[in-house]
Amino acid sequence: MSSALPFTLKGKTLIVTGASSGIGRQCAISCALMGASIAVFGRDEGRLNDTLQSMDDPEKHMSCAIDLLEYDMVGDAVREVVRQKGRIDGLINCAGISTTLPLNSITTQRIEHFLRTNVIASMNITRHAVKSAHFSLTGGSVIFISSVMGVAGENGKTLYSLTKGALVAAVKSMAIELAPRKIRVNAISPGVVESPMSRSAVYSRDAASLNKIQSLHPLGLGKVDDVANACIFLLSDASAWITGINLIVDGGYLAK
Amino acid sequence: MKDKLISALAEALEMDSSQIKIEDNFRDYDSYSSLTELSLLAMLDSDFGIEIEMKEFNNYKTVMDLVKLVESR
Repeated sequence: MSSALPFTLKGKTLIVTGASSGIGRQCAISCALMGASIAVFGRDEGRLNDTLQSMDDPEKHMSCAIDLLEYDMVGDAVREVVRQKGRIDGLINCAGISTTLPLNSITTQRIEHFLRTNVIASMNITRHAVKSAHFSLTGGSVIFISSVMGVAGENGKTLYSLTKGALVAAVKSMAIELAPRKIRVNAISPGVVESPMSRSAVYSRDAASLNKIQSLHPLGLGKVDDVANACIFLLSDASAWITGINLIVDGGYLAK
Repeated sequence: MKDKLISALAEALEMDSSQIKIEDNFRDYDSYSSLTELSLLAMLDSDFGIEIEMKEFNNYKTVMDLVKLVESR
């Protein structure tokens, strides 16, 4: 590694999905501060624009209002990013949904919906992004936002866990397959982070539930910046020799 | 609508429909828990197209309350 500033993202073009809110939004803002040019992906154009306006030098970036479940539209969207911004150096797969439901309520329809949203959609955009015609010829970094629920269990989290665990597993084989092209593939597994997703979760509905979930995190609940900073590391040249890992960012949740 | 609600309630709480009476306070059922409560919310959404917040759901006490809810939408 020759860069004097190995953590910089200057000169890198990134795609961030789920950039309308929460972790994805903060990833876009933080990576822009570190010098990257970013294409923010999400369904709601208005909220994407809000994200853009919160980013350093908004004119340097672009937004793409798209429903990633419209699989056939994704290839064109990625091509448009390459046309406007040049080859892609990195991708953060943030878009996803969560739930807490007992096994009895996990119908095949719900399983399919969660697999489509949390797994298939991110695999699909990754497939398009890493094509030789689209990705940097000198390599880069792909990140999947998983969850501690991908490696640990919790009451009612079966559906969420099965999708997040799938990402952790897939990352390893993708890392092997793409290593010859110096494309690194890693997962980040956050614990509970204060975000719109967690604020609507069952453990946020009363003080007792919130205290319980906080007590499971020795460093307290996370902030979206904590995950965004981990993304910066995995996107930057500072992590040039790291691929196929699941970086746990959980305030100590799994340490016990 | 009443029969459909009772059937869905029984499914969510893993009970037999015949055990459910219209005047029952559904939170008193042995199988009711904070987790099965989420099943009820999911059931109202998927089976009846009713999305409600927990705060509103807490206002409903009896099976009849839920029947009225689904009949009103």
